[in-house]
Amino acid sequence: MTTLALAPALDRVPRRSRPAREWLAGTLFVVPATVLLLAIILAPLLCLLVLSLTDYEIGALQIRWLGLGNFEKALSDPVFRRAMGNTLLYVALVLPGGVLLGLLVALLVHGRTRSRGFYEVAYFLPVTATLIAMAAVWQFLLHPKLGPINGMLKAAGFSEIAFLSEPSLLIPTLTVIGLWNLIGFNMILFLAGLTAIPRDLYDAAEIDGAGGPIDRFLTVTWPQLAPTTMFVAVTTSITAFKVFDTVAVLTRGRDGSEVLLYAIYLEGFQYFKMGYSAALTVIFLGFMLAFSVFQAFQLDRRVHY
Amino acid sequence: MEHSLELARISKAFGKAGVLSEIDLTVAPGEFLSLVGPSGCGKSTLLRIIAGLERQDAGHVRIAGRAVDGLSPRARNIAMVFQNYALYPHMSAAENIALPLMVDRLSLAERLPLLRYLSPRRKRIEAAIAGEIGAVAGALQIEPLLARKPGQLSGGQRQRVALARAMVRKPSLFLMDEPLSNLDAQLRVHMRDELTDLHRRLGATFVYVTHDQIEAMTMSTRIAMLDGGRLAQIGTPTELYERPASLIVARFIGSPAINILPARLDPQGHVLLGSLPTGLLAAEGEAGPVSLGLRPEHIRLHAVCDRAMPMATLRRSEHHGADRLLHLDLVEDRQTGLIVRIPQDETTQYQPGETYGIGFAPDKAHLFDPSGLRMATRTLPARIGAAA
Repeated sequence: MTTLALAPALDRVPRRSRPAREWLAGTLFVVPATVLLLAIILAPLLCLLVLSLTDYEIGALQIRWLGLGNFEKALSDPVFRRAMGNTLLYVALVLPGGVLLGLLVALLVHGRTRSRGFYEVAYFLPVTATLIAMAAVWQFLLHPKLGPINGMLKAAGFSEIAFLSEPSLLIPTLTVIGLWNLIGFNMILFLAGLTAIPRDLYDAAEIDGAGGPIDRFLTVTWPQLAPTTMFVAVTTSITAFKVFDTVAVLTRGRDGSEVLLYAIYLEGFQYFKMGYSAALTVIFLGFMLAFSVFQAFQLDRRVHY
Repeated sequence: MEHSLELARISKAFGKAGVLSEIDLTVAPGEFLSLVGPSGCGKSTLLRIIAGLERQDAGHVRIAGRAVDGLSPRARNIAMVFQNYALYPHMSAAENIALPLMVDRLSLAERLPLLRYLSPRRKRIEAAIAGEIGAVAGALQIEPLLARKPGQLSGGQRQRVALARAMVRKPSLFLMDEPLSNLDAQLRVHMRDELTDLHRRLGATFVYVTHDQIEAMTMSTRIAMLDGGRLAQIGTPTELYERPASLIVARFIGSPAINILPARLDPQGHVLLGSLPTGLLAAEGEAGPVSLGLRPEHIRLHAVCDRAMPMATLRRSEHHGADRLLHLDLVEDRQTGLIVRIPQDETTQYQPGETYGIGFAPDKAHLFDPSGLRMATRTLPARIGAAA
């Protein structure tokens, strides 16, 4: 009893209670990540949000608060609406095309044994090539008079097609180039997924009678690739939303071929309307966020078992 | 009666590496045949050849009297259970079990997403299949699990679902590729029991691959042991245990493993351990080194120091429940260890560090020639240096 009574007197500074110490330690552990998150992502985002509510222009001496003015303007701006529509069309074409073609190529390449390395490299090359530089090549390939593609079309008896000047063909042409650039990357992801499928499952399918190519694909390959497919779909749609290089180099947004990112670039860095450009960026980010969240939730429910 | 399975001169090589050479094997209806052997002996490859998942380079496979060499696994009317169960993870247990029947009875179009709703007979067939799944699930007591996906099942439950998927087609032959090796020790013993029971109830023919000799010994009606792609011996568990055809079989079957002692044959055919006669006489064979095999339970230790016996020092004594395993080293040859199995109540008389005489009944000993093959033996009428 005496020792107990003496204890507080010996220990002048009252020690912190256990929960308090744990709380302090926990907070300290979280600080570095929080600071980085704030500095790198949240603070710039906040800047962007604030800018989007002003009429800030590069070099301007004054800055005026517009509230939602920029957003109202954007929604009634025919250029922006066209850019929006074009981007959605582009995504709608590139997303299924990129996923399905990437899967198809991966399945074909996976079936090769000795030549697999060659095909992997061949399909991956466009990914490593800079699109800006390769755009020049595409421009030549698609040239109405000099390009080999029109040459072939003419040889086959078709009339020549102005891929890069006929307005209705601009987005489809950009889609083809985008797919060419993207398929190799998706193929590599699908190949990794294919390699991870246990051989046992194919054996079991064979024993169960589901050994034919379609049965095998539907029973084993496709369900087993579901997590990969979801990842590929998300990355592909983000890449497609960010289409810029080909538009900037090949069409410069002429004939109504503007896309979101190009419109943002024009407003911000050609016309110096940073406030408006920031508002467009916020809309762009909103789209990306909504799209990713939707995909993650929708697909996530179905791909995990 | 027709054999359930008949293998004739099956050979297989992967590239230059020969895996199986000239395997001949017949399995009678209702048999439980285990294919055993060390890893890499070709037992799984042989099973895959029977299943049709792998093509043999030479030889023929007949299942239920029918040549199946060119047939797909499905057309062979077999079922297989895999080591990792190989259940389709996106399907429920019921869907997994149903798949073989769905493929059998519905056309491809009737199984495709969306398109299948057009088929008028699909519902009727699916109802019939559901009934059969219920029956199989009842037999294996997995009805409460049918709606779950494999990810929500334990190892033993998955194994049962895999068994149900195999049973539902009523195949003429069950093939099992180490189905118990992913289970923990206790469950393995339990599933061993269930499999034996299932085999008896179904009356079906099982071909069971395992590297675990205890599984083979406890469940099989016959065991085929493979070594280096050849059939080392085939026979009942008792035959393999009591009359191993070679050193390799002797060493593989039995736990703890058989004791192999270096011995010598004198010109008269007497088997000598060191310089001591053993009472064992080789029926034939030249004078020279041989191997003497003694099961741990066939060795008796003698406290009396009789010079006419080989001597060994007790190093360690292990408790194994009803039995105790004594680890000894031969005095004359310290390299050679011995394991002796003694009933628990006899153990108090043996002390580590002490030296004992080794005795055995000559008719329980196995003799192998230098190439490892079993040699025929006789016992001398008067036993020398041996006591049972």
